[in-house]
Amino acid sequence: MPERRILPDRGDAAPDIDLPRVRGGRWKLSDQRGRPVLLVFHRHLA
Amino acid sequence: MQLQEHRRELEATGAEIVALTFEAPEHARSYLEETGWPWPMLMDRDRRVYRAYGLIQGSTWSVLGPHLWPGYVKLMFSKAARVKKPHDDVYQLGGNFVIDGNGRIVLAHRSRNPLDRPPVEALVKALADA
Repeated sequence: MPERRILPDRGDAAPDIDLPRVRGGRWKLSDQRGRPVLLVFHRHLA
Repeated sequence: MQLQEHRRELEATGAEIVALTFEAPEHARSYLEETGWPWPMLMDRDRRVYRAYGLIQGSTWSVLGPHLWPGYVKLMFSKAARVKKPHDDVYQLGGNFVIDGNGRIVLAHRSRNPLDRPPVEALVKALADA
Protein backbone atom coordinates (compact mmCIF):
# COMPACT_ATOMS: atom_id res chain seq x y z
CA MET A 1 0.00 0.00 0.00
CA PRO A 2 1.51 3.39 -0.97
CA GLU A 3 2.55 5.67 1.84
CA ARG A 4 0.09 8.48 2.35
CA ARG A 5 1.82 11.77 3.00
CA ILE A 6 0.40 13.84 5.82
CA LEU A 7 0.19 17.47 4.80
CA PRO A 8 0.46 20.29 7.30
CA ASP A 9 -3.00 21.64 7.93
CA ARG A 10 -4.94 23.94 10.21
CA GLY A 11 -3.77 23.54 13.81
CA ASP A 12 -0.42 22.03 12.85
CA ALA A 13 2.96 23.64 13.41
CA ALA A 14 4.00 25.47 10.25
CA PRO A 15 7.08 23.99 8.57
CA ASP A 16 9.95 26.40 9.07
CA ILE A 17 11.12 28.56 6.21
CA ASP A 18 14.61 29.94 5.70
CA LEU A 19 14.97 31.37 2.21
CA PRO A 20 16.77 34.18 0.38
CA ARG A 21 14.83 37.30 -0.46
CA VAL A 22 14.73 38.44 -4.08
CA ARG A 23 16.01 41.86 -2.99
CA GLY A 24 18.75 40.51 -0.75
CA GLY A 25 19.10 39.02 2.71
CA ARG A 26 17.34 36.03 4.16
CA TRP A 27 13.91 35.55 5.66
CA LYS A 28 13.06 33.06 8.40
CA LEU A 29 9.59 32.15 9.55
CA SER A 30 10.91 31.50 13.06
CA ASP A 31 11.95 35.17 13.26
CA GLN A 32 8.32 36.21 12.93
CA ARG A 33 7.08 34.69 16.20
CA GLY A 34 4.55 36.93 17.92
CA ARG A 35 2.91 38.24 14.77
CA PRO A 36 0.70 36.61 12.16
CA VAL A 37 2.19 35.73 8.79
CA LEU A 38 0.54 35.42 5.39
CA LEU A 39 2.40 33.17 2.97
CA VAL A 40 1.50 33.60 -0.70
CA PHE A 41 2.90 30.78 -2.81
CA HIS A 42 2.95 31.89 -6.42
CA ARG A 43 2.60 29.63 -9.37
CA HIS A 44 4.66 30.76 -12.37
CA LEU A 45 5.14 34.52 -12.62
CA ALA A 46 3.72 35.06 -16.10
CA MET B 1 -6.66 37.96 -6.42
CA GLN B 2 -4.82 41.25 -6.24
CA LEU B 3 -3.64 41.52 -2.67
CA GLN B 4 -2.05 44.90 -3.29
CA GLU B 5 -5.54 46.38 -3.74
CA HIS B 6 -6.24 45.36 -0.12
CA ARG B 7 -2.93 46.53 1.27
CA ARG B 8 -4.44 48.77 3.94
CA GLU B 9 -6.73 46.04 5.35
CA LEU B 10 -4.00 43.44 5.28
CA GLU B 11 -1.38 45.61 6.94
CA ALA B 12 -3.89 46.77 9.56
CA THR B 13 -3.79 43.22 10.95
CA GLY B 14 -0.12 43.71 11.84
CA ALA B 15 0.81 40.71 9.73
CA GLU B 16 4.04 39.96 7.94
CA ILE B 17 3.14 39.27 4.32
CA VAL B 18 5.53 37.40 2.05
CA ALA B 19 5.34 35.82 -1.37
CA LEU B 20 7.30 32.78 -2.50
CA THR B 21 8.36 31.91 -6.00
CA PHE B 22 10.30 29.07 -7.58
CA GLU B 23 11.31 31.10 -10.62
CA ALA B 24 14.74 32.51 -11.44
CA PRO B 25 15.85 35.71 -9.66
CA GLU B 26 15.76 37.81 -12.84
CA HIS B 27 12.14 36.86 -13.46
CA ALA B 28 11.23 37.50 -9.84
CA ARG B 29 12.87 40.94 -9.93
CA SER B 30 11.04 41.77 -13.14
CA TYR B 31 7.76 40.70 -11.56
CA LEU B 32 8.37 42.90 -8.53
CA GLU B 33 9.15 45.91 -10.70
CA GLU B 34 6.17 45.43 -12.98
CA THR B 35 3.57 44.69 -10.34
CA GLY B 36 4.77 46.89 -7.52
CA TRP B 37 4.44 43.99 -5.07
CA PRO B 38 5.09 45.86 -1.81
CA TRP B 39 6.12 42.99 0.44
CA PRO B 40 9.11 40.62 0.51
CA MET B 41 9.38 37.88 -2.07
CA LEU B 42 11.36 34.75 -1.29
CA MET B 43 13.07 32.42 -3.74
CA ASP B 44 12.51 28.68 -3.39
CA ARG B 45 14.23 27.46 -6.55
CA ASP B 46 14.20 23.77 -5.62
CA ARG B 47 10.62 24.02 -4.26
CA ARG B 48 11.64 22.48 -0.96
CA VAL B 49 9.24 24.77 0.91
CA TYR B 50 6.48 24.25 -1.66
CA ARG B 51 6.77 20.52 -1.00
CA ALA B 52 6.89 20.99 2.78
CA TYR B 53 3.55 22.81 2.56
CA GLY B 54 2.08 20.16 0.30
CA LEU B 55 1.90 22.23 -2.86
CA ILE B 56 2.01 20.00 -5.87
CA GLN B 57 1.92 20.12 -9.64
CA GLY B 58 -1.58 20.00 -11.08
CA SER B 59 -2.71 17.69 -13.84
CA THR B 60 -3.12 18.91 -17.41
CA TRP B 61 -6.88 18.93 -16.83
CA SER B 62 -6.63 20.94 -13.62
CA VAL B 63 -4.35 23.55 -15.21
CA LEU B 64 -5.47 23.73 -18.83
CA GLY B 65 -8.96 22.20 -18.82
CA PRO B 66 -11.72 23.98 -20.75
CA HIS B 67 -13.64 24.60 -17.53
CA LEU B 68 -10.97 27.23 -16.76
CA TRP B 69 -10.99 29.01 -20.12
CA PRO B 70 -13.68 31.57 -19.19
CA GLY B 71 -11.68 32.47 -16.11
CA TYR B 72 -8.48 32.85 -18.14
CA VAL B 73 -10.24 35.07 -20.68
CA LYS B 74 -11.63 37.22 -17.88
CA LEU B 75 -8.17 37.48 -16.37
CA MET B 76 -6.61 38.46 -19.70
CA PHE B 77 -9.00 41.39 -20.00
CA SER B 78 -8.75 42.48 -16.39
CA LYS B 79 -6.71 45.49 -15.39
CA ALA B 80 -4.32 43.14 -13.63
CA ALA B 81 -3.53 41.26 -16.82
CA ARG B 82 0.13 40.44 -17.39
CA VAL B 83 -0.03 37.91 -20.16
CA LYS B 84 3.46 36.68 -20.95
CA LYS B 85 5.11 33.51 -22.02
CA PRO B 86 5.70 31.40 -18.91
CA HIS B 87 9.33 31.04 -17.86
CA ASP B 88 8.93 27.96 -15.77
CA ASP B 89 6.68 25.10 -14.74
CA VAL B 90 3.06 26.03 -15.53
CA TYR B 91 1.81 22.95 -13.69
CA GLN B 92 3.09 23.96 -10.25
CA LEU B 93 0.14 25.10 -8.16
CA GLY B 94 0.22 27.83 -5.53
CA GLY B 95 -1.51 28.38 -2.25
CA ASN B 96 -2.03 30.63 0.73
CA PHE B 97 -1.29 29.96 4.38
CA VAL B 98 -1.90 32.04 7.48
CA ILE B 99 0.37 31.32 10.44
CA ASP B 100 -0.40 32.66 13.91
CA GLY B 101 2.08 34.24 16.29
CA ASN B 102 2.83 30.85 17.84
CA GLY B 103 3.80 29.29 14.53
CA ARG B 104 0.55 27.35 14.03
CA ILE B 105 -1.31 27.17 10.76
CA VAL B 106 -4.72 28.82 11.05
CA LEU B 107 -5.64 28.84 7.35
CA ALA B 108 -4.38 26.43 4.69
CA HIS B 109 -5.50 26.86 1.10
CA ARG B 110 -3.86 24.71 -1.56
CA SER B 111 -4.99 25.84 -4.99
CA ARG B 112 -6.82 23.14 -6.95
CA ASN B 113 -6.23 25.04 -10.20
CA PRO B 114 -4.42 28.26 -11.23
CA LEU B 115 -7.49 30.41 -10.58
CA ASP B 116 -8.29 28.98 -7.18
CA ARG B 117 -7.38 31.42 -4.40
CA PRO B 118 -9.16 32.17 -1.13
CA PRO B 119 -11.19 35.38 -0.87
CA VAL B 120 -9.16 38.28 0.50
CA GLU B 121 -11.82 38.72 3.19
CA ALA B 122 -11.03 35.23 4.51
CA LEU B 123 -7.33 36.04 4.63
CA VAL B 124 -7.91 39.32 6.46
CA LYS B 125 -10.19 37.62 9.00
CA ALA B 126 -7.73 34.79 9.60
CA LEU B 127 -4.89 37.29 10.10
CA ALA B 128 -6.98 39.45 12.42
CA ASP B 129 -7.97 36.42 14.51
CA ALA B 130 -4.47 34.91 14.56
